[in-house]
Amino acid sequence: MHNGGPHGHHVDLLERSSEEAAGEVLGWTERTGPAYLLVVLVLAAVAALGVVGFAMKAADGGLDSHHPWGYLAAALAFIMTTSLSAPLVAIAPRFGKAHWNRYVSRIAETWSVVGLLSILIMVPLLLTLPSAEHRQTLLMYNKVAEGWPVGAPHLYVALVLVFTAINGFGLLWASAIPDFALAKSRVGGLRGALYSKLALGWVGTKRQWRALRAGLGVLGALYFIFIVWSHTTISFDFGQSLVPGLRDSVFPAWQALGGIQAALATVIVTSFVVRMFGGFKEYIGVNQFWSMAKLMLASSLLWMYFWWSGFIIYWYAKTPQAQDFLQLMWFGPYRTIFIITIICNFALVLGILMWNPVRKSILGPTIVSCLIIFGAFLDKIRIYVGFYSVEEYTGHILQEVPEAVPPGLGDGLMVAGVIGGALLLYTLAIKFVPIFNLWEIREGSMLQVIRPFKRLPLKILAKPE
Amino acid sequence: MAGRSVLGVFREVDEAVEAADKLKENGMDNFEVLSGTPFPEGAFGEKVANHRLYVWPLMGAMLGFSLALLVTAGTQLAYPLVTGGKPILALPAMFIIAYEGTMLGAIISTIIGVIFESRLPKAKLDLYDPRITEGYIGLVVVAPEGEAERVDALFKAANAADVQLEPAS
Amino acid sequence: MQLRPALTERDINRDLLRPVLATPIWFYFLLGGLAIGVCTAIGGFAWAVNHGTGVYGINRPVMWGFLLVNFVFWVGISHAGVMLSAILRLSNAEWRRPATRAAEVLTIFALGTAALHPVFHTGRPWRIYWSMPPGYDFGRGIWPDVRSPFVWDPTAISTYLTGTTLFVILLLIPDLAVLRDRSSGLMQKVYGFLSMGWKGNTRQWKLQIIAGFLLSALILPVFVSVHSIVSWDFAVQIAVEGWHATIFAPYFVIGAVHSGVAGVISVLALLRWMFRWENYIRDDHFDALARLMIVVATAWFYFLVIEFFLGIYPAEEPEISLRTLQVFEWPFNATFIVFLLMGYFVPVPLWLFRRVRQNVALMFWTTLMVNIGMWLERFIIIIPSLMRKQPLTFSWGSYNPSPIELILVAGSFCLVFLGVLTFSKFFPIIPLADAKEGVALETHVRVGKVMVPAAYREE
Repeated sequence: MHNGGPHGHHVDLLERSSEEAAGEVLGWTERTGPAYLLVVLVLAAVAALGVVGFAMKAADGGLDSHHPWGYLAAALAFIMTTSLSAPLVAIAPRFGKAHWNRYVSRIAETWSVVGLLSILIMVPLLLTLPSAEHRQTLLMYNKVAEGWPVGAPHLYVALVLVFTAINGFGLLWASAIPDFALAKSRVGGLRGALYSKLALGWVGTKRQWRALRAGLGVLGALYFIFIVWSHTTISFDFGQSLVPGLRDSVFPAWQALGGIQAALATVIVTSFVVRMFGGFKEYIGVNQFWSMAKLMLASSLLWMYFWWSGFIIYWYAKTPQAQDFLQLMWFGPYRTIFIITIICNFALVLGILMWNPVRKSILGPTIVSCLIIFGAFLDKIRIYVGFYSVEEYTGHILQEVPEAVPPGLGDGLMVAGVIGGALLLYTLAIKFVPIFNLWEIREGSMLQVIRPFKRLPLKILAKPE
Repeated sequence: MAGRSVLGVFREVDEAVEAADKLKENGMDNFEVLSGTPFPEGAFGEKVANHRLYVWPLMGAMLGFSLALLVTAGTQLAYPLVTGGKPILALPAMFIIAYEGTMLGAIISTIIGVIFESRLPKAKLDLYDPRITEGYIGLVVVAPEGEAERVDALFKAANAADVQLEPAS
Repeated sequence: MQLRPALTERDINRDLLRPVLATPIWFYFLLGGLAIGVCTAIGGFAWAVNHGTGVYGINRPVMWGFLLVNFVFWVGISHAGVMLSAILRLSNAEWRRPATRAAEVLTIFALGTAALHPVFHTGRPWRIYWSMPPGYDFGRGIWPDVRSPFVWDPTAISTYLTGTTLFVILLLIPDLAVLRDRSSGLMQKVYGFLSMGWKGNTRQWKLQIIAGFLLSALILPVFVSVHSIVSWDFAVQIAVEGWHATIFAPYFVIGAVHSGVAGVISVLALLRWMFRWENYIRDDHFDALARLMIVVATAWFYFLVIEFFLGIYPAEEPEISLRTLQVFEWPFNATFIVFLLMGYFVPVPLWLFRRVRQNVALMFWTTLMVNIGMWLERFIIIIPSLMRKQPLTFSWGSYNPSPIELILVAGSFCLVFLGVLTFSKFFPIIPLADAKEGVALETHVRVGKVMVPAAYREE
C-alpha cells in the first residue's frame, strides 16, 4: 500500500505494492498446472466434437442450402453477443473515466480473441447464404439485378466480421503493451522473446503514454462502432432478410443492446471464475460486481423496452402479415423458449437486482449473469433457427409460419463445439496475456485515496484531465 | 423528554466539529447538526438518521397500478366497443396506462414520504439562526435537566458566534 | 477541471441569488418582449377558435401540420431535461451540479407548452377532457378508448408533468429556506411558507439526497415512456408508410435526448452570459456535456440510418415514393440536407475538438443548430409521410403552413423562455445546495508533483 503522508493514504483494492502484484499476476500467467491442462484438453475435445457435428451435417448434403444451418447461425450470434461484445465493458468506463473497471478491463478485452472463431464459423454460413437476388438485404435496393452493390451481402458480412476481429486483437494488444514490456524482463525463453517483440520497445516515455491513451481511445471507439455494426449485419443478413416482408427496424438495435447486456454478464461470470479459481480474491472485489450489476440492470430494462417497442407495433397493426410475424417470432412455435428468455433476461434480473444489497454482492450479480447468458442463448436459437427455417425466402410476403425445428445430433455437437471453442481460445489466451491490466491498476492506486472528511473517512476519486 | 434544547451557532465548520467532539466527551451524543450545505452524513460524528423512505414508493406503486388497472378495465367494460379488432380488455394497451399509473403512484408517494420522513412541514422554526443558510453551522442538543447552562458555557468556550437557549418551561 | 477561486457559502448565495434578489432592469424588458410574443399567440389562437380550424394550413390528407411538428419538438426538448439531471445524478457525475435544475425547469415549461399544442390543433379547448379518463360523456356512460394512443399520450404526459413538477418543488425546499432567510416582507412570508420550516438538519439533508437519487430512478422510466408513447401516436398507424416502424419509440427517445441536451446547453450558455455565472457554469461543464452529446448524437444517427434503410429495403412502391419525396423533391430535399448538416454533420465533428467544446459561444451556436435540425427532422417525418399517404387512403396532397400556425409556433418559443425566465426571477435556477455540496466535496490528490482534482465520494 502506498502512503501519501499528510494527504491521506492511497487506497486500492490491493493490499500490496504494484511490484508484488506484477510478480503475482505474471507468475500466474506463466504457470500451467495439471488442472489447467485438463480443462484445455476437455475444451479442445468439445471443440473437436463441433467439427465432427459440422462434418455430419455437411455430409448430409447440408451445404446445398442455408436451411439446415440455423443452429450454427445462432451459435455465431451467441458468441458475438457474449464473447465479442465483452470488450465493451473495458471500453465504455474508460471513456467515462471510471476507476472500478481497472481490475476487470483485461478480463473483458481478452474475450476479443474469440474473433478468430467468429471468422471460422462465418465461412460455411456465407457459403450457404443464398444470393441476394429477389431477396431483401440491407445494402441494396432493387439494384441487385444490375450487379450493385458488388458482393452484397456476402462481402459486407465478411468485411465487418474480419474488421471487428482485427480491431479486437488490436485493442487487446495495445492495452497490453506496457504489461508485455514489464513481463519481458521477468521471463526468459521463447515467451520472453515474444513479449519483447510485442512490447515494441516500450519504455514508457511521456510521449508513448500519450500515444497509448489516444490509441486506446480510437481503437475503443472503433470497436464500439464495429461491434454494433456486426450485430446489425448479422441480425440482418442471417436473420431478418431471410423472412420475406419482415421489416422490423428495432430488431438490429435490440440485438446490439442484447450484446451490451450479455457482455456485462460475460465479464461478471468470467471475473467470478478468475476470482474463485485463479486465486485473485483480493483483486476483484464487491465494487466491481456492484458497478457492473448496476449497468446490467439498466441494460436489462432497456432490453425489455426495445422488445416492447417492436411488439406493440405488430400487436397493434392486426394485419394478417403482422399476426404471422407475431407467431413466427414470439407466440407461435417458439413460445416456450421466448417466455423463458423474457424471464431470464428481464423478469428475474429486475426482481433480483432491484435490491441494492444483492447488487452489492458477488454471488447475486453472478447468478443473474448466468441467467442472462442462458437467456441470450435461447434468444439466438429462437431467432436464427426460426428465421432459417422459413421455406420461401424470396418475395414480399411470409407465406406460412414454419414449425419449430428441434436440434439434431449434428446441431447439438456444433453448438457445443462453438461454445467450447470460444472458451478454449480464452483459456489459452489468459496464459499468455496477463489477466490483469497492471498499468491501469497501478494508475488507479495513485488516483484513489481515503482521507477523513472532518470526522468521517471517505474515498476520494481523482479525475485527471 | 425532559430537558432544554440549546443551539450553538459556529462561524467555521471546524469549530463546530470540535464543539461536537466536546459534546460527545460530555456524554451528549444525540446532538443535531444544522447546516446550509449537505455535508456527508457523519462528518460531525453525529448519529446516523434512520428512515423508512423505501417503503413509500413500493406502496405508491402498488396503489397506482391497482387504480390504473381498475380504471382501464372498468371503463372498457362499462362501454364495450370493439375498435381496431382488439379485445375489449386489451392487455398491452391496459398495461401502458397501468405502467404510467404505477410510476405516478410511486413518484407522488415518494414525495410525500420524503416530506413526512423529513418531519416537515413545521409551522415554527424554534431554535434557528438565519446565518445557518450562509455557511454557519448550528449544533442543537437537548441538555438534560439543569445542564443547559453547562452546554451554553461549552459552546461559548468553543468559540460559538451565538448561543440560543430554549425558554425554560 | 480547471482551478477556480474558493467559494464560500456566502459567495454562492450572493452570486446565485442575484437574479432573484437584485433583478437587473433589462430583465424586465426581456420579459415584456416575450410576453408580447405570447399575447400575440393567444390572439392567434383566439382567432382560430372563433373561425374554426380552417384557418390552419392543414388539409386532406395532411391533417397534422406545424402544430403537431412543434408538439413533438417541445416534448423532445422536455425529455432531455430530466434525462440529463436523472442520469447524471444516478451516475454521480460531479459536473451535473449547475445543470440539473435548469434542465428540470426547461422540462416543465417545454412539456406544459407541448401539451397546449393538441389543444391548438383540435381548436376546441373546452372539449379537451374527452381524452382523459373519466372523460367523454360521463352521463351516458361513454368512456375513452384505452386502446387508442391518444389516450395513452395525455396519461403519460400528465404523469411526467406531475412527477417533474413535484420533483423540482421538493428539491427546491432547501433553497427556499435560503431565500426565506435572505428576504423580507411579503416575500419572506411566501418563501417561509414554501420552505415548510426547513432547518437543514442531518435527517433532512439525508432525505434530500436520497430523494434526488430515488426520484431520478423513478422519473427515468417515465421519461422513456412518454416519448415512446408520442412516437406510437404515429407508429401504430398502418396507413402512413413513413411512421409504421418498430424502431420509432427508441428513435424518438434518443432524438429527444439529442435535442433536449442541446437545449439545456443553449440555456446554460444564455444563463452564464446573462447572470455572469462563469464560476458556476464553467468551461469544463460545457466540455463534459459536449462529450455526452457526441455519444448521444452518434447513437441517434445510427437509429436514423437503420430506420431509413429498413424503410427502403423491401422496395415497396408506396414507401419508395415517400422516401423519394423526402429526399429528392423540393422543398423537402433542401430541408433534408439542412437537417442532416445541422443535426449531425456540422456540430458533431466540431465537438471532437476540445477548443470547440470549451468555447461557450461555439457551444451555444452548435447546440442551437442541433435544435433547428431536430425541428426539421420532425417536420420531415410528419409532413411528407402524410402527403404520400397510401394504404387505405389513396390520396396525395400538399401542405402549406398558415400565418396563424407560424404565430403559434413562434409564440410557443416565447412561452417557454418566458416561463424559464420567470422561474429564475423567483427561484434559484442553479441549485444552491448542490453547488455548496460540490464545493465542500471538492479536493485534490497529490500524484508526484502535480495536484489532480478530485472529489469525496459517499457510497
